[in-house]
Amino acid sequence: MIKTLLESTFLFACLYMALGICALGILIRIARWFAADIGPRSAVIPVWMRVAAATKGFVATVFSLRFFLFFKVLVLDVMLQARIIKTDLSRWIMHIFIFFGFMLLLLMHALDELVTKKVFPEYYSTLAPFQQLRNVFGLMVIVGVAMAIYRRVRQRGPMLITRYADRYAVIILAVIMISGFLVEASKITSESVFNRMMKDFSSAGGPADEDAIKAFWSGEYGTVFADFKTPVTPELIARGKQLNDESCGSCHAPTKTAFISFPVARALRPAAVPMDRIQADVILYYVHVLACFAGLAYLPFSKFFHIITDPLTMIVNGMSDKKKVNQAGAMPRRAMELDACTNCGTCSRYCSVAPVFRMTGNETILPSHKIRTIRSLSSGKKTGADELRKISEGAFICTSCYRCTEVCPTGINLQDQWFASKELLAEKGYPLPHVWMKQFNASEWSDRIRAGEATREKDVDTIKGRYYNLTADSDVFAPCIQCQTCTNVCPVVAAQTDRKDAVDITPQKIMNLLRLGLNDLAMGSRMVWDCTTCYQCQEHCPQGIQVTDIIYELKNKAYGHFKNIDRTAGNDS
Amino acid sequence: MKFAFFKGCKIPYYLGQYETSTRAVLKPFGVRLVDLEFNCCGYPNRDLYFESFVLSAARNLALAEKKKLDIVTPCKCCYGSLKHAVHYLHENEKLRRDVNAVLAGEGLSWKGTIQVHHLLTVLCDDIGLPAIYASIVRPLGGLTVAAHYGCHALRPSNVVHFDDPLAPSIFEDLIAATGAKTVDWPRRLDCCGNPLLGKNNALSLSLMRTKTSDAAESGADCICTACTYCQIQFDAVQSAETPEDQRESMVPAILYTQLLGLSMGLSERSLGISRNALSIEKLGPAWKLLPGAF
Repeated sequence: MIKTLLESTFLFACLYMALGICALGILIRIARWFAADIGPRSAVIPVWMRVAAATKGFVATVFSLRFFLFFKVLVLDVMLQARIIKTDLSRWIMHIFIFFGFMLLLLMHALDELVTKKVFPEYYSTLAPFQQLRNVFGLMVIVGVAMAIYRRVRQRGPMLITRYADRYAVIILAVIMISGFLVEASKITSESVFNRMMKDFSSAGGPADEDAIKAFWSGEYGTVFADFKTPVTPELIARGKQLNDESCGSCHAPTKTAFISFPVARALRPAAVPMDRIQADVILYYVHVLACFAGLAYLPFSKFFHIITDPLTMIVNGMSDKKKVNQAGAMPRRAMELDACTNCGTCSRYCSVAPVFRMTGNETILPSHKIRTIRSLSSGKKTGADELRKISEGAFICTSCYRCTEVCPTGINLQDQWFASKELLAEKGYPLPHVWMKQFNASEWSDRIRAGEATREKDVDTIKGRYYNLTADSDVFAPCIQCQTCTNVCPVVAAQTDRKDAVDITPQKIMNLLRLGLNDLAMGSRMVWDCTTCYQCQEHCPQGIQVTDIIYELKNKAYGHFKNIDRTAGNDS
Repeated sequence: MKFAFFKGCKIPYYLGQYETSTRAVLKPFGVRLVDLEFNCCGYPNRDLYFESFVLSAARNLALAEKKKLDIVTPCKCCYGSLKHAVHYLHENEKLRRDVNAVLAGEGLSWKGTIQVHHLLTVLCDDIGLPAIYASIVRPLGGLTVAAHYGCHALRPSNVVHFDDPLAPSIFEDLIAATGAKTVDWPRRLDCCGNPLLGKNNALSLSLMRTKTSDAAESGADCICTACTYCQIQFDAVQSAETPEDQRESMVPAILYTQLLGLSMGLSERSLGISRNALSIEKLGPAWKLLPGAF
């Protein structure tokens, strides 16, 4: 016998369990925001100070009288999701369909006893317009989910990677929606549901009236009777309609108004009798309700946690200046933002240095991947030297243009995340190449290159320029007459900031080293890595030698060698 | 006149006044600036990966080609980078083929049908000095300016084709139109130091200070720039990195578009003068209170 949620102790117990897990999960995840160290170690502050900073920020916002801004963020960004429409109309339609479809189903349908009945006292789930609306909202979610799947398949690639969390989100939504429509459809066809309703509500008299109402329901309302042999005449149907209006009409709109479930019921017709025998409507109802509970319990651990984190992130970042970061509150905010990222890939599509990824294949250049690397760096998991080198390259190729931050639909302060992770990487011994270059001098680097070349023959090939080989072509540098004009016009040579840090090998010496075939000695020189690329030397060279271009190429080649060398190793190697 | 406006990575968030002032001064001359979804010009990546630098620049060029628009950029590093890429793509067929193969993935290709201009060339050659002279309503007589050329637009001259690399005059000509006086300073063609910022700060600041003290000794009230990075260096970086006891010796910087805009009588708001970190004393209150001060 079917029992509604309110009558079933089992379902009620499940609901409370799901709510409990959900609430506990949310608390744990929020607590983690204050415990996670995200950013440079030098900026780590005690947890209580983070809580204090977050509380202070919250109170200051609430009492700042910036209600206008608050409501603007709430209405435009949170409710209308204006940040999505800024970059992608079809994604906005998809998201609005899923969000509003689901929320309205939750309020009107799932919480009907608590919400709809209070607002509309005459509410009954099978009455118009509620029956249509339920179908409208359900259809919205299904269309949204279909769009999401299409989008993920169509735009599949490094910019939009579909992982377990994305698949789960789509699957759980699809299960809830499809089972919902199937419950409704199987109820429409079910003879036992019809009989129960007849017993409870019909005032029809004898078997003739019962036949009339059955004829009407099977013809017009889609019920499938296993054993209904009375010949159907127009008079019988007319009588059935009259009885229906008297007994059922007050709380049962025509089932056709369930404009999705009704055609589904029609399609299920051949299977309706066996389905009714196994009480398919009850089974499907349990599937539907339990899927909802599973979704609820798993919410804090799934992609749907963004229902909580995204509005918070939008409000926090929408009401503060992204360029002036409050350091005390930065760590919890960054941790919250990591939870807010929905892996939509918008940042990567707009990334200013995405072409560098296309050429080098280092995916940690792309913001949507960088967010993941930050997560793994902060998780305390051990990251290998190769991985750190790759992450560092990705982090420092970023030009800090704030574009990802501008387009992020969630309003995450991505640029601040990148600044913080650059600092952290520098602390770990993986700063900008120009900086880590300085730990060895030119001849130490040269030794390392030679040692490296001896052990790794194949690397040499890949380091050879594919298009230009200025440093290996004697026609380019041999004309040098060692007149020192390049050195004399070089502002870096002239600057001589500090004896220890002064340029070791001047430009004309680099030309000489190339002529001697000692390219490896030039590669790690201060001159090469402190070059401002001002092109004074090249412009002034009386022999027309491409001095600056040669320095650029030496840097490229040096980087190709050095990135494969253990940088944290001591000087004795 | 219509151009694709190449802002580069830094203008939107670090130097918004350069965009607003550029738009403000170009508008009266009927120049329309079109925004495209450009990416980085490739310059910052050239140190590490030649191919990535060319691809970055080529994608921008291809985007503009698709719209059949010439590019104008107010940044000299972006200008140099785009010009270098054009040079390499013309010169090296293998590179061109490979880059186009990657661009084809996005339905783009580089054919070399459009030109890359720097803002100063557009002002001087396309709009023309006579038109600029005619637009001046409030000449800035009394202001002495050191024109800072910026390296990447000027050199290597066989690639960038900007002006005479050893004795350029375009910047002084344009400044003269505003009524301001220019100084001949020994370091005017030197580097501002910004390319080394974050890589070797001591050296970067030393290069900057050599220039500012030279400008001061030559009698300049301010340095005038027409490059995003140079302006950031002389304005925000100089302001942030100069110790308290040496602030007297600072030489403020102004963007050429701001200088021109002032002499054209444009609003301070659209020129974003107040967004500069350092203010020019002679322009400050006098400019605000006494419109006829110069």
